[in-house]
Amino acid sequence: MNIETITAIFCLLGIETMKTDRSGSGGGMALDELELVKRSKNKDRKAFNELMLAYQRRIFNIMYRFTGDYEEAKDLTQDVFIKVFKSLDSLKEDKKFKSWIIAIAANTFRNRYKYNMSRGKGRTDSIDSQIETQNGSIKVELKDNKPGADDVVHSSRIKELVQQKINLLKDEHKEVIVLRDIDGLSYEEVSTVLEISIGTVKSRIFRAREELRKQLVEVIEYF
Amino acid sequence: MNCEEAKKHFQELTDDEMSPELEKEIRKHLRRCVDCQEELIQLKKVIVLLNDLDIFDPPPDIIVNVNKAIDPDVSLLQRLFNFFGGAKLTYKAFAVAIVAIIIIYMNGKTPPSVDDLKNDMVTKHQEIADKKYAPQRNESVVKEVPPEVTGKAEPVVDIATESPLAGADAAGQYASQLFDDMSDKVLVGADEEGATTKGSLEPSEFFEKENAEKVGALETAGTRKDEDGEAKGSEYQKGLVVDKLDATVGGDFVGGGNVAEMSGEAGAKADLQQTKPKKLKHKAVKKAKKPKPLKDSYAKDVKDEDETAEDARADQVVKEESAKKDTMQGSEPLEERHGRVDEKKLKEPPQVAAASLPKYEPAKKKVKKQLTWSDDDLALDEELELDDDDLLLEDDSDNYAFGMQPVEAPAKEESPQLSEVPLDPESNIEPTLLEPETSADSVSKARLGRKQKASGEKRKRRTTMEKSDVASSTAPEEFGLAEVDGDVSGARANVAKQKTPEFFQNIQTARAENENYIQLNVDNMGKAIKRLTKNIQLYSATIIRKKSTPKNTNIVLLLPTKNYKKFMKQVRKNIKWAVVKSARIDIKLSKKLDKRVEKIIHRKKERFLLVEIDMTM
Repeated sequence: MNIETITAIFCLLGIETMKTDRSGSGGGMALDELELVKRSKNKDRKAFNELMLAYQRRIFNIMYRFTGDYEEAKDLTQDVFIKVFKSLDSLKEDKKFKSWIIAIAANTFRNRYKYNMSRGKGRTDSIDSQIETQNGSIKVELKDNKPGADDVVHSSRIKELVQQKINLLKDEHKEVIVLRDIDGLSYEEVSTVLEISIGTVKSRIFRAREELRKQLVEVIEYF
Repeated sequence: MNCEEAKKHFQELTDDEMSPELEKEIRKHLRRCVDCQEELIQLKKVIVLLNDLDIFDPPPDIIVNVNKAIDPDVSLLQRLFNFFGGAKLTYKAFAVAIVAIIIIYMNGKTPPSVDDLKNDMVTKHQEIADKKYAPQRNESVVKEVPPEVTGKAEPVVDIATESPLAGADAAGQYASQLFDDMSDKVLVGADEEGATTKGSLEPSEFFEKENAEKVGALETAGTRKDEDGEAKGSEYQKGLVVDKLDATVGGDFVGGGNVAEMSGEAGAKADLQQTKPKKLKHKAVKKAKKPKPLKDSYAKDVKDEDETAEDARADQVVKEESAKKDTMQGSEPLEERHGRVDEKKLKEPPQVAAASLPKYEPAKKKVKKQLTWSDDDLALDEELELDDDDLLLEDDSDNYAFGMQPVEAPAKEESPQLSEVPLDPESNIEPTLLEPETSADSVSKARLGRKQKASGEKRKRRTTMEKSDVASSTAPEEFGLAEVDGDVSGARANVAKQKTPEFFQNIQTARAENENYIQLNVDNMGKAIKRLTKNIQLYSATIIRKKSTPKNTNIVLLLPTKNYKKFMKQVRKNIKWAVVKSARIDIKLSKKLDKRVEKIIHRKKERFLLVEIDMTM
């Protein structure tokens, strides 16, 4: 058993203890978010773990919808929490913690996207895509995105298709669609998080929805 | 209101943020316009779909990982713990305690008396001289020493007249002083008979020769004048400062070379670089505890010494030597024993003599610690070169599906695959897909180790293939993707129903179109790659060796996309049979190779296609 394993076990035990505390002792009063944020600012690890517990699902799902990749989403979620912990002091209004953490998530995703592009990940081909050659493009039979009867029956397949289409959106459209229609933020909140005007948010959402509608027309017919 | 205006407000309508008046107008338009109705319904469905997307549970280790990353206390503790050796801390402490006890014991231990030392050595040398070298005693001191004898020759250091440091000084300090003294005094050459003075200490315990000829020169060099000794003394002393340190840490005793220079009258430059520092230290400690007072010569610089005093001291030493020899060999004078001996030499105290008494045994060479090669080292070590690009020989032990799913995912392992039975071109046997295994099989196999799984499945597949009617299987004649995907029947059709279309898109089969195909195996990979990529820019070629089937390897190539068609032609032309995977999801790359590929892609600024030729047979 190495040191990492031991550390992990201790951390897990710590979390378990916190869960017990929250539900049981001292009348079982859960610390509210503001209090948690304040305590986290003072480097209270227990409070910060509580905050992470409260937000990890949300952040992870946002990241998953942004990236479409489970492992990538996990990495980004961890990055977000690390950044949050390190920069909690810069949070001026504790009330805006939710917007603040989601903004960090969005920025983390943007930075990662830029990093990936700079590393050339956007320039590789797969047989899934049309291949340009000297003699013209290779006629590869692309995956038929039209859902078959079986697919339509299975809603999970539809959801996969929706996610695929989200992945094809422009990043700016993806961000607003995820935050607004999946995560459920208001226009104002999206505006705050992304630091763009509400008008811009609305127009982007309009375009994004329109794009998705076109992409998913055949799916929608069966829905 | 026309359609365009109405569509502009659809968003507000779906978000329920529209004013009642405007909503009325839009509703009015919608009643008339079927297209707009349809579009609005679709838009609402899209929103519903988005809202209904699953919420995933986050991985359980996120918080743990974050805590590990941000916790400075834990990391500091961990660092400290590691710094002190982690779990080995107790062992180290124990070792330190043992060493401390030994040191204390050594310090407290009473050293052997000088008389005991003397008697031991005298007895030893007397016996050797009597038994082995007695017939040669009358030969000349300066006679030419045969090579086999010279190889065994050892200079002798006399300790009978030494006055070591009192107390328990460090061994290195004593070594320094010992050689100071050697530089002060006359070095007496001795013949190979080993007729050394009584109570002399064998310098083989201090030095070991690495060059027999040089040692021979040292032996035949005879004696050395006091002046020479004085002249060399200071620089020799300097050398000893370093030597002392080397001896302390168990290193080579480089300064020994100076001894040879000093003792060589004819300018012999023996390079005695090996010593036995441990013995030196031991002897030195013993000598250091001798109760004799410290001589002036130990403390003073050689250059400052008075010549007269030196001569007087030398005379005294000679007398002492004579007395010792008388004790050892009766009243036989030194001259008689050695035959022709220069008077001048006799006057010089026999501080160091080049004798050949004991057998020369080279010091045991330090055995180099066996290095443990990491996987990375191995990969680098086995890196091949192909044109201007690299061929990286990789093990697939840590491969994973590129960016998508880990290699150990049961689904991947259990998925039906193209037959791995090599096909004879004459028998018209085509590669085929096997029936998917039952879930019970999958579960039981998932429990097995990876190796067992791989080998077991392979055997099973082969057996199945041998038993089944492989001729009825349906691989396409042409190997384009369309054909692979389109021509589905029999067992393959069953698989097709269960698998998404992507499964087939990723794989092509290829077989040679001519007789001069390559039967790929581990021995002809380089040749194969060269032939496959003839006239094609190849950026990376990796041979992936499978542990389960070491003789079977796959090749992963990074090609410019524009050359893909040409490449496939060459594959069909040259490879007897292979499965070509060209979707990243199907190509398992190690993290290292993945990084490498990305690096190349980044550097070259070109569109690439990653292709894997699966030659598992």
